[in-house]
Amino acid sequence: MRAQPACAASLAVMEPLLDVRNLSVQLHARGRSIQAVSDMSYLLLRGEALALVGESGCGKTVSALTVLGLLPTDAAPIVSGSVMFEGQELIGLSEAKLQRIRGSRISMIFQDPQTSLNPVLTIGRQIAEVLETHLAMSRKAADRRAIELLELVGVPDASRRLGDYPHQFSGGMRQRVMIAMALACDPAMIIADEPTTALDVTIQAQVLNVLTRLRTEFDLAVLIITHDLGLVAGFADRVAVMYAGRIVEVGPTEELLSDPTHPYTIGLIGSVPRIDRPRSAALVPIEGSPPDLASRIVGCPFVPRCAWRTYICTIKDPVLEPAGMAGAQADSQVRQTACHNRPTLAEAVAGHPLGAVASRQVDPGRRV
Amino acid sequence: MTPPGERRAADPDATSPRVLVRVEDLAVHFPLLGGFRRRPVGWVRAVDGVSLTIRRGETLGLVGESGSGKTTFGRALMRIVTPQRGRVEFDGKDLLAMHGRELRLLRRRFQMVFQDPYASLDPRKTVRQILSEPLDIHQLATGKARATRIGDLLYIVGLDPAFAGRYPREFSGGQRQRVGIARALAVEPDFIVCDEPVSALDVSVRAQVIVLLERLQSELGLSYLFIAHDLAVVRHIAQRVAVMYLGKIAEYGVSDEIFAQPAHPYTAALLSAIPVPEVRAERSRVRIVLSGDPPSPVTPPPGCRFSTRCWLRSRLGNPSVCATIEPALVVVDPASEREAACHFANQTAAALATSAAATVA
Repeated sequence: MRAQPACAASLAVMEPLLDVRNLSVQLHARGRSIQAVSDMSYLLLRGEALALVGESGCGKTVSALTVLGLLPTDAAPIVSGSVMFEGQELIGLSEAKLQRIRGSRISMIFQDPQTSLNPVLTIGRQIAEVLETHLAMSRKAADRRAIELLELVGVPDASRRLGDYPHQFSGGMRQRVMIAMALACDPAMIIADEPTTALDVTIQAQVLNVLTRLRTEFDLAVLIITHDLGLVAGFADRVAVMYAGRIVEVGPTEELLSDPTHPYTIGLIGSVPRIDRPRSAALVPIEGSPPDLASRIVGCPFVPRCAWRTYICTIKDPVLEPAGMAGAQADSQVRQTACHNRPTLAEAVAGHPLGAVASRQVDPGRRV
Repeated sequence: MTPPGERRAADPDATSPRVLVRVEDLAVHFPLLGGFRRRPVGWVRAVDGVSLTIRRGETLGLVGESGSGKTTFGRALMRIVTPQRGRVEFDGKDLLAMHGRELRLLRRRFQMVFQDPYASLDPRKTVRQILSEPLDIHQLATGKARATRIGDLLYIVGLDPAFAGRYPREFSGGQRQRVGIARALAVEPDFIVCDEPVSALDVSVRAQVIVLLERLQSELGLSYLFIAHDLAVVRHIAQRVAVMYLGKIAEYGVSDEIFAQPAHPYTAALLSAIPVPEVRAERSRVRIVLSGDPPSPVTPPPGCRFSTRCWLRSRLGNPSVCATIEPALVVVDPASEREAACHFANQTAAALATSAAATVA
């Protein structure tokens, strides 16, 4: 079974596990500085699954790596803003203290299990090492626990496979090993960066099943980074859609997918062929390509590709504001959109603006 | 293996002029080298007896997981790899028997679009040079005519003709794939093998390229072999589909019918694994989660290749025939020419219906 989705009331009352505020990250490469993340704020509650959705280069991975202090130093990152985790500020924390949090309170699962496992160490050693480092377990106890963990993620014949090397595992099994390692110290939160992208579709289903089961069993909060809206629908309680380094829309998964209020979200949904729709249903691609984050962006970053653009969009960058069904006040805290000229539900379904765009008045409360 | 005689009898395309490409019993085996002297110690049966046809103006989707042999099949059609046995007919001509000038002349008519637009374009050449190469090789256009042709090619794939002087690195992934498509179109082919053409692209750009491929097909009357692992994309673009598993075709037929009512248990499992971007539909979806990984194509299991992971077989109490006799690809629905390679294909639908009922209850 799935965890209960976070409701609006709990957001206001509960203390969040992770509280990211006004996070901005600037990276440097080949003499260019790139504004990878711009003024990003979000909450993650205990036991909640939040999906960061967006295309390559939109800043979803960079923002997650920033939380763990894992940005590459040769990119000379400049980070501002605040990341509070279990009441502790992570930005500016010393490397030694961060290391105690990484792997024990927050752990990470990467896209490619092939490159994130050490090829010259046995699987058993790699899991046991985590336990010995963080929990000061004896070698024997760590090996025993490693077997338990492998069984937990569904690696068959775990005690025998402990002595195997990563290359002896298939892609799906390696990803299970990564999940076992991530769980080793009973973390409160896992960051999963495209955990199933490199896997075949039948194996994806297996790995997602493991993740979903463990999430409930361990009351884990998961920050899942993906571009797969189908995965989001099955796994996440809430979704944050990212574009050009900022969150452009955030809300409960069901509402956001069925009633998107940002033109980019509408474009993303319209771009995916659906197995549950007639074959003849036309795709509605987003024209153009994302902006270059090395140059200064004036106005809304989506303007050049947006069918709903108005004059104000070209001069003023929209901020996240409450959106969603008119009158549903409780939702206003969780459903937010950064758009000056929000598409209506009918337009979202059609995939393009209805009527004359230029004459439209901006009215944030207007919904069909 | 399918007895070719039987296939022909059932195949209405056997002598039809609407067929552009006919493949019969194609097999590609790679030697597995081992030991100090790198001698063959076994064979990777990447493609192991595949027969299918591609009709003029249609898109045939070829789907399967990694290691199913779908890419090798496409490469064998292009004669990039040499098949062990089998026959490939292109517009009535025996492709595998051709050499030299004859082959070069025919090659103009079939082209390939590759998965990775970053790796398949020479980084040291401008787009103009990249597009000139096929025009020069086939002596199609020179001088002023060539410049016009390059401009036209860029225009038709939705790029600004003024970009001809740029290098691949100056383009985004989607734009590079457009250059790759323009290169394939340069020689005015009839047939294009698209090997995972959108897999490396971002979601929004992926849709742009799919729409482009569809438009080019209807404008230029192209035929595609569309190789992909994403079934939702294949269903969208292909009129007919072949599902591959471990070097063989598991199911073959009209796209709409296969997706509505799969006859092979592997197809059913693949379809059930596709997530849907809508919460209620997604969470009530009946999923068949296959256990284990696909077996190695070096030592495929005896009998049916899918028997080691087959949910239908275990549902039926593990009949021994699946592990001993390899099922032939036979017509399961005479009305629609649909074919499946499963001893119990007629029971898949009923088994799927009961699992749906079980999930609802």
